[in-house]
Amino acid sequence: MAIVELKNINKDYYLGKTVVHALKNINLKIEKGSFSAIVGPSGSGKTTLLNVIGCIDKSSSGSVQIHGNQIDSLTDNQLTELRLFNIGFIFQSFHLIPVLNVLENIEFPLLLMNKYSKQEIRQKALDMMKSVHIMDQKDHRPSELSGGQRQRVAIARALVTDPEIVLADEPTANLDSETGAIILKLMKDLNKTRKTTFLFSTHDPEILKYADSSITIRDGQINAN
Amino acid sequence: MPIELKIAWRNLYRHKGKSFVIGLILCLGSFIMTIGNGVINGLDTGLQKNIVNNFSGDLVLVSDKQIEKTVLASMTGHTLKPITNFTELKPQILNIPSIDKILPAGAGYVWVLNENGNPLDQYLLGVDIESYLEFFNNNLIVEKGSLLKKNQRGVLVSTRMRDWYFDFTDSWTVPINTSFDQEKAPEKVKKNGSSLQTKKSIVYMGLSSKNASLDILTDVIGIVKFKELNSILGFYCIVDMSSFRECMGYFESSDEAVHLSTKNQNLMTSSLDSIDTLFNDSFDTVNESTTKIKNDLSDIKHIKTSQLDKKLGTYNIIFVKLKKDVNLNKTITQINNLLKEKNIPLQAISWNDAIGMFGQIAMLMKGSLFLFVLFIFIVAIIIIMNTLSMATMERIPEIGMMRAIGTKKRFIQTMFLAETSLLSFVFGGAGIILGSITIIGFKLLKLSTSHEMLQILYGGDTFSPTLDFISVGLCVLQLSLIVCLSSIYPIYLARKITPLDSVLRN
Ligand SMILES: Nc1ncnc2c1ncn2[C@@H]1O[C@H](COP(=O)(O)OP(=O)(O)O)[C@@H](O)[C@H]1O
Ligand SMILES: [Mg+2]
Repeated sequence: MAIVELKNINKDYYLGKTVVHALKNINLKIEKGSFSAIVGPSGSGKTTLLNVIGCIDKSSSGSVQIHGNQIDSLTDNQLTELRLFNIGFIFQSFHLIPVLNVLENIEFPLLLMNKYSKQEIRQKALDMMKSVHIMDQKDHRPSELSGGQRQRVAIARALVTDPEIVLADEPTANLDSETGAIILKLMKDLNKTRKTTFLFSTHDPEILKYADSSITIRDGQINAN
Repeated sequence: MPIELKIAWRNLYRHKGKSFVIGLILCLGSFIMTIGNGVINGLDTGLQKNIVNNFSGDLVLVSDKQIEKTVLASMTGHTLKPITNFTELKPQILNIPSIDKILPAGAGYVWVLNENGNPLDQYLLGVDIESYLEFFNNNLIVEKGSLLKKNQRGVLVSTRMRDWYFDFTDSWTVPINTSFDQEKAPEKVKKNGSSLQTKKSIVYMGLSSKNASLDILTDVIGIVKFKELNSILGFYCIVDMSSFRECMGYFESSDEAVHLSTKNQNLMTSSLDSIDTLFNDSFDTVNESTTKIKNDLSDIKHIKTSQLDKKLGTYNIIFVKLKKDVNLNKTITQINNLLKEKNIPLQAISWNDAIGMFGQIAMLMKGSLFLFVLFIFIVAIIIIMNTLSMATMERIPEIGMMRAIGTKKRFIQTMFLAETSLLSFVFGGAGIILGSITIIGFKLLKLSTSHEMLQILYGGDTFSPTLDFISVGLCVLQLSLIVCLSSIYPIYLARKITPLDSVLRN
């Protein structure tokens, strides 16, 4: 079953009088449990595509279905809930909440969900921390962590809500290649053990080899593999 | 602690510098506002207390034929309509339940005639001195000479009017039986040196109800000061009731007065040798009504019998002090209804209305203070709004990320509001407390002034700003308003941040 289904997606940016066609007629399905990569050079439209899938940007035309939900008609609050409950985000620049420590950062989305008790939240967060091997830094603030550690926390935060899909836009771009590889291995690991669907973008062929399947994008167009 | 509050609190701590700057502005703003409120409050209560206790009573009763209400500060110079039968009315007035005590008196606008012909105008208050001092809690301080004795005729000149007489006539007013004291005189008087003229009596000219002018020559018995607000209340000089009646021609309107109208009785006494010294040539420049006196010189009367005055019982104003803790406005309506009901030909006017322009000066003062507070208020809002907006802009990627991972706008809004509320609670609260302490400090300092404007600002001779629960509440309200108004725009900005703002673009 497809977690994400895009049909005839176009995305145009208007810069004064010129129009940038960032995405051109994209048709795409992401299957449950897959570990896929979007590959393409800088400016090819990877981020734009992930934003549209992640419901943080709207396409100019075409339809987006997430977990069977047509997202075009949703309100801002509904989209926010959709993101909270169904999508996990891992950012290139880690993007943790600077004033919260590691544990609190991981607990944060669970608190927003307003679904679990305090104990459940704590337990889920601790379990997740174990899975990404960050237990020792439990009480540290993000500024006290290395890039690799931060990305582990980000992964934990993205996965702790058990989302349908985790989107990661160039998750290793700010890491050295060795750490990048470790992070990718961790993601792959979690994909295996937790059956979490991952979709990540990269322009680094080294990283690409971890992906089960890849989607190549060039000038906003997908060349199917 | 809710997570919004936790993040807000830690964010404040994280951006210590900025928080401190905003906090300081909040602190200073609420400090100034608190003091402003306290001063306005003190001015209000001080003025009220001092004027009511020293000068006007809670209300005054005047003839129901009296149209102009500013009976104690008439600018038009119309004499008050007389109250001819006070002795009959007295028991009826005292029967009114809310009234504690009363003092009949005469208040009027008079001209001061002098040698060089420049006519001065001023207010004159005719009273029975003993009752007056009792009624107004010994509100007079004697600078020189003495107070009037019972049944003694003469005038108590206020220091303010003494200065004024000097400015206009170059002669310095000195009470009878005293001599000019070079040492104690102010600089401007000393300058005149040996050529200085002194004056021990004054000629007042009143306008009677029939518009006939009557002059009285009164001895200066004392130079006095009002204990509080002398610079305002000092527009008034105080004469004995008999002199006042003569000046206003009240004896004429009474039956018994006919017997008194013996002309040319003891026309001139004391320091004036002849009528001509009083009204010399320069007098021609003065207006019509004054020149008229020159022709009517033979009408100048000086009547010594005070027994008759008592019988006549003509006054034109009755000062009233109410029993404690009665609502002034309600009581005035009540009293007026009662007066009408019982056919008593009087009307009650509140002290506030009666003092007219004196009150308006205070209102102006209050108004400008209020504007000042408002100005501080607006400046604080603008500065805080600016700083908060800038802080919001700096946090766009962070907030965008929070939105992306599932934080609703409402959460962001609460977080921002919590930040400013916490700041204002701590720093604004400190400002209010500091302001209150300063106000108490000022009160203890008992700063006093004789400066006219400052006296009005102080609401009396001593600076005593006050804060009650209501005005502290007002400060808190103003502070909350600052917080709300200055947060609106930054929160609007924060709400506009979209998840897309979390994404780095190159
Ligand atoms: N906000 C924007 N305004 C205008 N053009 C944009 C904007 N965002 C992206 N683009 C353009 O869209 C194209 C795709 O960009 P992006 O999705 O960021 O590519 P990638 O992530 O593969 O580097 C680029 O040509 C870029 O310049
Ligand atoms: Mg990109």
